Amino acid sequence: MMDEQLRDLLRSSLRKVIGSGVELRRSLDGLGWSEVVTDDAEGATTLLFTEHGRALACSRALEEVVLAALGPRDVTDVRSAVVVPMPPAPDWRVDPARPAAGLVLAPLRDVDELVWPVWSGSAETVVRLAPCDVRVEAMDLMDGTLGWHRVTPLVEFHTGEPATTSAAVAAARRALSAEIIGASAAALDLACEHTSVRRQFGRELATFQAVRHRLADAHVAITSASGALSVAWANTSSPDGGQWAAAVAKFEAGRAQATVATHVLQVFGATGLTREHPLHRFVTRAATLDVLFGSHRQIEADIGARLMAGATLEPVAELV
Amino acid sequence: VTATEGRCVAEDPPLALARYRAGLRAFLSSDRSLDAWRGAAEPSVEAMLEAHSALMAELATTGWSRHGWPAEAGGLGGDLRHRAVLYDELAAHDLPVPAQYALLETMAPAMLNFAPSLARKFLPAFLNGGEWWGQGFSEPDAGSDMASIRTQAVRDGNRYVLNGQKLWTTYGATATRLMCLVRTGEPSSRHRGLSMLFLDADSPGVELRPIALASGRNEVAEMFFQDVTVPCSRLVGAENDGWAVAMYLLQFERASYAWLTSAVLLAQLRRLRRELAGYGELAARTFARAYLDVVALRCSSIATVRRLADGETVGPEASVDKILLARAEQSVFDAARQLLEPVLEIGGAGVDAWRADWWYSRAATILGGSVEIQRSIVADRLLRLPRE
Repeated sequence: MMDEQLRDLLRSSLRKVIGSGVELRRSLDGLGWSEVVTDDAEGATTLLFTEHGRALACSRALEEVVLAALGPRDVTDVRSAVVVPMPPAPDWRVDPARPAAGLVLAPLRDVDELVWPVWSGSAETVVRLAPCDVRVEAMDLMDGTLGWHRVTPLVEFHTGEPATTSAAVAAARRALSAEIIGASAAALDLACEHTSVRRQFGRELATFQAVRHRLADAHVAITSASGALSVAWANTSSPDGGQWAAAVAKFEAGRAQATVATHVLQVFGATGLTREHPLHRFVTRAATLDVLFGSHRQIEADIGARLMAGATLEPVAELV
Repeated sequence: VTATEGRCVAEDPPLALARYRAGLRAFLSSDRSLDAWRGAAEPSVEAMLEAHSALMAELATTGWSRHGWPAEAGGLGGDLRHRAVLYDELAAHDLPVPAQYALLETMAPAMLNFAPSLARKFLPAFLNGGEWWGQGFSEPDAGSDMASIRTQAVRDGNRYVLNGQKLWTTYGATATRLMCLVRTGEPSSRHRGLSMLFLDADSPGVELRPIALASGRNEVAEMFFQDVTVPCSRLVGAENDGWAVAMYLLQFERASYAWLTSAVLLAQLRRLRRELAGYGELAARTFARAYLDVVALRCSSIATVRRLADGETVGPEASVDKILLARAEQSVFDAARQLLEPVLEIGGAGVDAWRADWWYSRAATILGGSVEIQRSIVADRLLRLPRE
């Protein structure tokens, strides 16, 4: 596990490279990031994605997490794009006879192949397609700075290769949780700065209890989501591969971004609603990330259905 | 873990946590003498406390509840983690987590830290279910504003003479001893002039009266002190150092108590699920939200429990746990009320227990520092916003 000093050092390095305009993968290679991940997967992933969210970055970082979790592959020098589930689908469970539309997180420039996970009944596989095998369409996103595109297969799916798609869902949820936490924490920071400076009735807004308590609740939501995320990492070796705990973490992050958005948009006043002010970018980024791999409302409904069907009320956080 | 006369008894310390849990599970699932407590619903607080103290005696005799406590308390060593596992496993095995453990969790660590000789003398009887203690902090004019406490202890040689009134003491009417925060300094000395005194409830001049909550249960009490004599040897911490003792104690109230409650709430959700006859998608969502609120509490509380077990001091960040605790507690009983509707309103199977728990859960945002106080602590000390 990395100590505080190393974490601070890595955080400031990440802040420099994420905003630099250089492709993130190359910058991370320059930092020797893969060694950091080997030493402490949780610390490295959570730090990278939190900073990614704070910086409103766009990169292939999430795709790399998914590819790594799908299982090892012996081919190198192939530039792959991962097809993630098109919301509202929370995962890759599909009817194999009729593969639906998927989502790619960036335009398909300089891509040799699409990796399309398919989870049908008991079989977890990936299908590899050429970029010309799909139709690519732009999307009308709430966060217009994201480069997400809809992809629709133009060919029949052949039988795929075995892959651990359920593990990839859990890994993606843990990474996304950190990214949502990062974007939400940045929004809360902006709100704290704004209300500490802006004066009305002769005093700073943040001296009014109604404002302070909203900001406190936003902080509680973010802290709670961080706690759920570290417990999700501690559960990766549990019998279900950490899927239940990863779903809980994604729920908590999604719920936190909704709580934070409600409170920061209120305490900012009308300024926070303008195109000119950056606040809306953090709010919409967090909200858009929430719908990937199951929104918090979907996960809640899914957990509810399972519990009502008799699933164990997992304690999730346990001391042993 | 050894089998003695066919019974599973905890062996001497220190048992590693995993072995402790494995042995405990074997004991709790196989020992038929525990069946009397399984799934029991007591008709009154007094009956509940009596049944729970008998369970505490059973757990102490077999050794399982003595793990996690030092020898001074009558324990076998180990730390808070052992206790947290005990509460989890009791709840998981459909057994009550004795209500007195919540009081023990808040008062015992403070006594061990600030008055070890008192701890050696009195704690073992608490741990083995022989007695329980009340915590006297609130007063009619000192609720959330605890530094305005007026109950006065005047020094007279090597004793104090105590006069005043305390309020909202949980299970106070049947307590054997009381740990009270009292004023030993000038009336205007605020938190600087407070001391923690430990006194016997049967001392002359002490009067205890139960207060029934709206459910009809005597969950709390008020206490009156008229010229009560308390020896100076009953000070917990130094004179006028009571605020530090109270703050130390509150760490455990916001950590161990939170964990213990989360274990109980999971058991309550299992009970609720058993009672739900039919359900729709809306019911599933309400149930899931309550479950997720309890899990959120555990995910936050686990780090605090570990830090306290490692001897670290927990500061204002425990207020986050306290807020999540209150949310979880109310969420579970609000879910029960909604999903069982209209049982709480017009009666039905198990209504007394659900009503009592629903009313008691309303106190979750009030007792031990109201949720408003906790939010202000978060705003001041974690977000460092300008002061009100």
